[in-house]
Amino acid sequence: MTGLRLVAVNLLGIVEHPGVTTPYRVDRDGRPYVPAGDGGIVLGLELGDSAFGLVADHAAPGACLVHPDPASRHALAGYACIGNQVVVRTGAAAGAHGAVIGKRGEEGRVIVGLAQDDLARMRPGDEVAVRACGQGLRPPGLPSDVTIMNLDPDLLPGLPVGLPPGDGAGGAGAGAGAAVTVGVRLIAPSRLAGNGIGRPAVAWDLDLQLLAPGAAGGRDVALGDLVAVADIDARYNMGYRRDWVTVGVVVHGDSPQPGHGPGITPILTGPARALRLVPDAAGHVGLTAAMLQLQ
Amino acid sequence: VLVDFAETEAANLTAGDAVTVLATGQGLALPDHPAIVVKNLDPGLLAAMPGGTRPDGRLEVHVAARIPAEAIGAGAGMASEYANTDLMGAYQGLGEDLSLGLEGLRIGDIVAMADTDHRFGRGYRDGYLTIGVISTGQCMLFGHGPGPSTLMSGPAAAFSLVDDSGANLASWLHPQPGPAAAAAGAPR
Repeated sequence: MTGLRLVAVNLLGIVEHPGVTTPYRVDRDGRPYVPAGDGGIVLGLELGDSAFGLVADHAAPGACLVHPDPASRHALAGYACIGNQVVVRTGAAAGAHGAVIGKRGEEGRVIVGLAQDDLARMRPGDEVAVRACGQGLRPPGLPSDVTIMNLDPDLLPGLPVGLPPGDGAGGAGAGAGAAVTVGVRLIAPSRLAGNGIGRPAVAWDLDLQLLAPGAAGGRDVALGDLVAVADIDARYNMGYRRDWVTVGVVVHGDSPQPGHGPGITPILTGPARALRLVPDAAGHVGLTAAMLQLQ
Repeated sequence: VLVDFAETEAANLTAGDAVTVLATGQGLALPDHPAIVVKNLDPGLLAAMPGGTRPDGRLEVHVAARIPAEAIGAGAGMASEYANTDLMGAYQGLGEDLSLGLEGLRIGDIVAMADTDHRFGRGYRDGYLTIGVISTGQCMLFGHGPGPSTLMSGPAAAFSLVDDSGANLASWLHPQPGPAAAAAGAPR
């Protein structure tokens, strides 16, 4: 991969309409609920807001994009990267600019953030162009056993990710013992990894069964936070591997469903010795609207 | 729905054959164990399984293996009446860093999944326990593996587990080697 040049691909996403097969889902205590906010265009929710405290299911701060052709939809989800620029092409918000803030699983969804004024004028069915670029990124200094994914190359310098000095040769891995440092809100144990295990990390998010703040053992996380999961290898399909670490961006809020919770789109995975985590429960700043110029 | 036949009969089956399943069991409740939800379990099979109500009121269940919550793989977050939960850490012949000591699982083994609540789906819950039966074999796909179908779920304190290497469906569905076929899940 050393020195290879990334290409960008223009993709077409269609703003999704939420869909349910029954009006109710069942929460972890057996109570029925209406899963508002699961897909489509969610208004009034932004990066930096808590992932908890919403009367909503998997609510993401922006619009979800899909494609009616399943293969095209998988390509949309697989190629799009956090930070990629998007432009609304049709509808009342045509011409508005935004950025990819994450991805979700099942048949594939890309979550895009836009200014609230623009989101308010959008509706399901609007077309959005995504300038996809980033898969395969290997910046100079990246240790050979660490993988970056789902991340626009231009976004990396703004995130709390420190790379060891590179050799200037355009992507050569650092020597043995070199490590990436990553600032995160918290480190979750792998037993809390829920829906998303066994699925491909370039096209799915990983739900974390975190307890809400206020519950015993609960901790707050914000949309856009970087969160680490211990003992999870996300190079390809996501699964358990001892002494491995995966870091992702929190892209949607909590869910009442058992086995679900705030979801991360993975951006970094590697052995724990090469991916040093710096947790900061109070002061952490991850992906922000300002970084993506969404205001 | 996975069904078991004697090898001689399985040899005569082919794709498209129709098989009648006399389905019974959903909604089964144990009046002496109101905290435990039972599902996907034929009442006749339940009666054949060793264990039962102990003097202290807990439900005794014999299990061939105890599964740590770290092993729960693909299937988390899905309905517990459909499909199953794949277990990781059971990849024979692969690295030690992938192992959770589950390489010895056999199809049909009754297992206890720690900190797992399958009453209304499938998820992690501290202090809960789910009993399942391994219904599929090894899978090399990462994040997948032998999968238990859910049989019972409730607070761990409502159960009393007995480690028993004989806790396998074969012990009760095929007690004697012979030509008789038994369909897993069919009533007797």
